[in-house]
Amino acid sequence: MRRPANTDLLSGIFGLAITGVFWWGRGDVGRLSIMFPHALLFLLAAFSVALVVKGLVRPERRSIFAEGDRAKIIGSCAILYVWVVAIPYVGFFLSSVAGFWGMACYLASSRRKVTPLLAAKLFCVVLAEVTFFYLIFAKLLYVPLPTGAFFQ
Amino acid sequence: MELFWEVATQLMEPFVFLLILGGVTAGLFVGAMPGLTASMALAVLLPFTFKLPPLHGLVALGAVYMGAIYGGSFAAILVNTPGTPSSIATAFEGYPMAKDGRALEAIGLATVSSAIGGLAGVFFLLVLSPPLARLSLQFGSAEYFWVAMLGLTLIASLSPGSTLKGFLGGSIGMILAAVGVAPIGGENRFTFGMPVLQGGVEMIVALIGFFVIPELFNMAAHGRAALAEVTLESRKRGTFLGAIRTVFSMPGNLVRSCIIGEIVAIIPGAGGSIANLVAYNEAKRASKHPERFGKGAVEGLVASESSNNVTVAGSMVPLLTLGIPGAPPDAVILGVMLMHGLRPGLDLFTVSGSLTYGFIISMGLAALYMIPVGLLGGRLIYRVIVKTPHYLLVPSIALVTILGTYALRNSLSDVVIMLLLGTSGFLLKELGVDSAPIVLGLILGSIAEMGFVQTLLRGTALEHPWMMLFQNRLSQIIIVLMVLSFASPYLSSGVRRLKKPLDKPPEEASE
Repeated sequence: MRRPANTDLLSGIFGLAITGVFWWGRGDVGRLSIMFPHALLFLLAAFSVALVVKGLVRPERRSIFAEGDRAKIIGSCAILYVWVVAIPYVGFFLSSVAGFWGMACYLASSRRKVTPLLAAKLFCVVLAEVTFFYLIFAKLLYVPLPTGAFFQ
Repeated sequence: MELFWEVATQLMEPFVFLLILGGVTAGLFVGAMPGLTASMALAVLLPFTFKLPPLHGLVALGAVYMGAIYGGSFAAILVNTPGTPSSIATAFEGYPMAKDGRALEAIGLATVSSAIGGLAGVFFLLVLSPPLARLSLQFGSAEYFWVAMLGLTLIASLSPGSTLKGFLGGSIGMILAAVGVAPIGGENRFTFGMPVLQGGVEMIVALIGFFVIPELFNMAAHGRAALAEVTLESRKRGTFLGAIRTVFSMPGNLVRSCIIGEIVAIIPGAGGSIANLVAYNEAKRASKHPERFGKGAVEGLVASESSNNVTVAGSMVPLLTLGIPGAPPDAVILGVMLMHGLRPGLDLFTVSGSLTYGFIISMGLAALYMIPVGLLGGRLIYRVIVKTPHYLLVPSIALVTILGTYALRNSLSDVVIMLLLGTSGFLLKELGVDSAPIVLGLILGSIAEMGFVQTLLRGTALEHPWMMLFQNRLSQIIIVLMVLSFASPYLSSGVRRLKKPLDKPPEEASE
C-alpha cells in the first residue's frame, strides 16, 4: 500500500519551482514587455505559497501513481523519449518502427509472454502501420519527414 | 439569401459529405474508448486537416467533436465506463438498461437524444452568436483583459478537485503563453538562450501534449483492464422509430436538458462533462418517478445525452464571438482557426460569413449523420475497439501524435516540447492540477496581456494608470462576475458547512 502524498505541498513546491525558473529567465527586457509577466509571476507565487501553506495546515492527501502499473508508465515514457530523440539520427521511419515495436512488445509483456512468434507478428503489424502513415504524410501531405543518417 | 446559397453550395459538395461522415465515424471510434476524451480525439486527428482548406478542416473537426461526445455513450451503456466525461450520467441509466437486456434500446435512445441535442446546439449557436459578436465590438482592451480573467476564474472554479490548484494551473498556462516575443514590447522573453523558444510555445503543440500524453501514459499503466468483454445481445430489439417516439414523448425533459446544456456550454471551460450531470440531476428532480433513476430510467439517459451534445456547438458561442473556448475541445478548434488566419469576433460572421455559417451548419449535418453511423456502424466500431489490443493502440496513438506535432511546422523541437509539456501535464494531473486550466491559461494569456498592457498605455495620462482597468461600466460588470465565480466554490462550501448541523436530527445536534 503506497502512502498518500501531500499533493497540496507538492503542487505548491512545483509552482514555486516554475516561478523561480521564469523569474531567473526574465532576461533584460523593457517595461512594456515584462510588466504583464511580472504580474503573472507574483500571482503564480501567491497561489503556490497558498498551496504550500494549505499543505502544512490542512493538507489534501491522496495516493499518486497509485492506479495501474507504475513501471509501465516509466517504461513507456522512456521508450517515447528515445523514439523522438532518435528521429534526427536514424530518420523518422526507422526510429518509428523501432519505437513502435519496442513499445508494443513492452506493453504486451504485461499480459502475456512475448514469444518470438508474437514479436514477429507484431513487427509485421508495426511495419505495415508505420509505412501507411509514412506514405500518407510524406507522399500525400508532402510533409518532409526526417530521413536521418542512413538515407542521406 | 446570397450567403445562404453560398453556404448550401459549399456543403453540398460530395467531399464535404465524406468529411462529415469520416469525422463522425472517427470521433465515434475515439469517444467509445474509455479514457479517451473528445479533446484527445480532436488533437490526434488534427494533423490530417493541416492541408485542407479552412472550411474543410473545420467541418472535419466539428464532425469528430460531435461523434466523440456521442461515442462516449457506447462505453457508458455497454461497460458502465463513460467513454468521455460527458457520458458519466449516461452510465447511471444506460448500463442498468443494458444489464436488463435493453442495450440496443438504450443505444437507440442515446443516438436520437444526441442527434436532437446536436441540432439544438447548432440552433443556439446560430441565434446567440451574431448578437454577442456585435456586443463584442463594444469591448475595449480593458474588457478583453477582464473577460480573459473571467474565463480563467470560471475554469479554475469548475475544474475538478481544489480551486487553488485550478488557479495554479491557469497561471502556469498564462506564463507559458508569455514565452517568446512580447505582443506589445516586441522583445524576447523567457527563451533561456534557446532560439527555438523565440516563436513561443505553439498553442496546438501544447494542446496535443497536455491532452494526449497524459492519457497515453494512463492507458499504458492500466492496459485494457477497464474494458470487460461485453455482449450486445439484447432481449428487446428497440426500433429507431420507437426511440424517436420515446424521446419526443418527454418534450419537457428534452427542452430543459437542451437549455441546461446551452447555459453550461457558454460558461468557459465547463462543457459536456458538467452539462450531463446537471441535466440528469434536474431530470431526476422533475420526474414523477425519481425512484426509478439508477435502475434504467429513460428520462435520465435522454437528459444526459441531449445535454452533452448541445455543448458541442453551444460551447462555440464564446469561442466564435470572444475567442474564449467554452469547453476544452474548443481550444483545438480555436487553434485551427488561428492557423488559417481567422480571428474570432464580428468579422467571422460578416467578412468570413460563408465559412463560419458553413462550419456551423456542418455541425448540424454531423448531428444528423450520427443516426446512420451510430445505428448501423456503432456496434461494429465498438467490437473493433474492444478487440484491438492496448499494446497496439497506445503506440499507434503515439505515432500519430508525433507525426501530427512534427507536421505542424516541420519541427522536431515542437515534438520535444510537446513531450515535455505532456509529461509535466501528467505529473501535475497526478498532483491534482487538471490540464484544462493550463490549456485555457495558455490561450487566454496573450489576450489578457494585450488588454492589460494596452489599457495601462491608454492610462498613462492618469495619476494611477491601472485605474483605467476599472473605469468603464462593462469592465465593472465583468469584474463583479469574476469575483462571484472566484468566491462561488468557497461560498457553496461555507453554506454546506452551515447546513450540516441543521440537517442533523435534533437529539444528535443537542449532544
